[in-house]
Amino acid sequence: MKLFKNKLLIMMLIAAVLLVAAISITSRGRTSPSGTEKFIGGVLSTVSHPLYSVGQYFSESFSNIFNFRNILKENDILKEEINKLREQNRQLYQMAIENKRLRTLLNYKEGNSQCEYIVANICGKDIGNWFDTFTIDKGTKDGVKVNDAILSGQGLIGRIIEVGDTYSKVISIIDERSSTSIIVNRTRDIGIASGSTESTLTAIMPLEADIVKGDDIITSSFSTYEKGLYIGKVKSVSKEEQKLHKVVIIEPAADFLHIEEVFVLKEGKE
Amino acid sequence: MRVLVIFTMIIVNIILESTLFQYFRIFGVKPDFTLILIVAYSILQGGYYSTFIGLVAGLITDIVFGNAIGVYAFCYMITGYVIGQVHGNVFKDSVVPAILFNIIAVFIFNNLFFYVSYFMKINVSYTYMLIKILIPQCIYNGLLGFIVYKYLYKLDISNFMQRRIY
Repeated sequence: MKLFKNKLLIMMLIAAVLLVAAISITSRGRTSPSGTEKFIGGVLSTVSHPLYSVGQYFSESFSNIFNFRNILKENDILKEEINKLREQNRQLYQMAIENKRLRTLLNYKEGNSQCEYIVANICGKDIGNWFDTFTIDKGTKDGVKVNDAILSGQGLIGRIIEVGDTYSKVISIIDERSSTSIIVNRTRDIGIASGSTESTLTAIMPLEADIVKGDDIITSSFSTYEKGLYIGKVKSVSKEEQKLHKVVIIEPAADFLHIEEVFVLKEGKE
Repeated sequence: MRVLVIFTMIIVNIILESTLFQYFRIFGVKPDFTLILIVAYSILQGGYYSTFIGLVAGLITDIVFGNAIGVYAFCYMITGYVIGQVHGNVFKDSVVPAILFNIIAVFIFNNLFFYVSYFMKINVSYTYMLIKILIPQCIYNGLLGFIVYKYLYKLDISNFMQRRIY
């Protein structure tokens, strides 16, 4: 019996050494999985998407039951807002036409080329409590590439780190391992935002940066993301005199708990 | 038959955990059913089963969700081996060891995961991990572990599992 147990111990130790080697080899950012991984990932993502939708459906209908009265109120507010926005939209459309006309007069080349979007569904989220990664149901077959940005209707969610044939893995901007180069929309101050295990987004800005609560944060042209993607609003700013930088907590516009459909923005930088 | 059933349980568990059980999160923490499975089988069948359940479940998790291959596999496997040592020393038909060893398993797993992340240069604070992840998950896994264990125990002693198919 003792020998039997020792055999298990030896097997486990060999496996542990192999796994540690595997971790050290694969942790440096692989972008394309091997054949076996592609197969397993593909099969599991096909199976899990319907289940994810079922979960989403139930959680939404539960929260709707409890929020029934608020929904009616919200509906009225939203209707008013739609009218306001329609008016604004009209004005902006006029301005866009005017802008285009003036641009042609000046022979100004357009900086932002038209980007293509792919609609993707979320298949599943990381099963642990530590990180914020998830899988989507589009892969190389649909033209998804590594480092493509992922957006929800509200704002930036993350980027693609690994692409299989019919699925890809996404790391969200609030993940511990992700950091983004950001710019403050109002003052054009540059900083770096990184996620944490607490699922918050914290940015480090220079001490002289002019930033206040409520400022809009977008991606800068130095990041892996496309320039000018909306991230969120500033929640709080605190100074750290000894470290000579400001710590800025950003509230992401995207709701990371209730995401189901996302957009893949093509033409990410390599 | 037992191996086949366990393998199916591992796969179904991972699919459910990444989809439906995501909505069971309370305070951002989700019970870890892979650990519950490992603990149940380490009590019922011993170290061989729990170590291999840990290895297989961990590898699949790594492939589908992990960035580096082997992080979950390493942590689950060692947890499975350590908890597997209790086989033969506890009563199978009592639920107290299930609760106790679930709590210990969560503790071992999260600590291992912390060290692995630390050496992968991922900046995680230990106190945060302890308060926000480990302790809530201990309570969760302890409570759910004993309910799941009762059913797994009934399943494991049934004739159906003893049948051989090869």
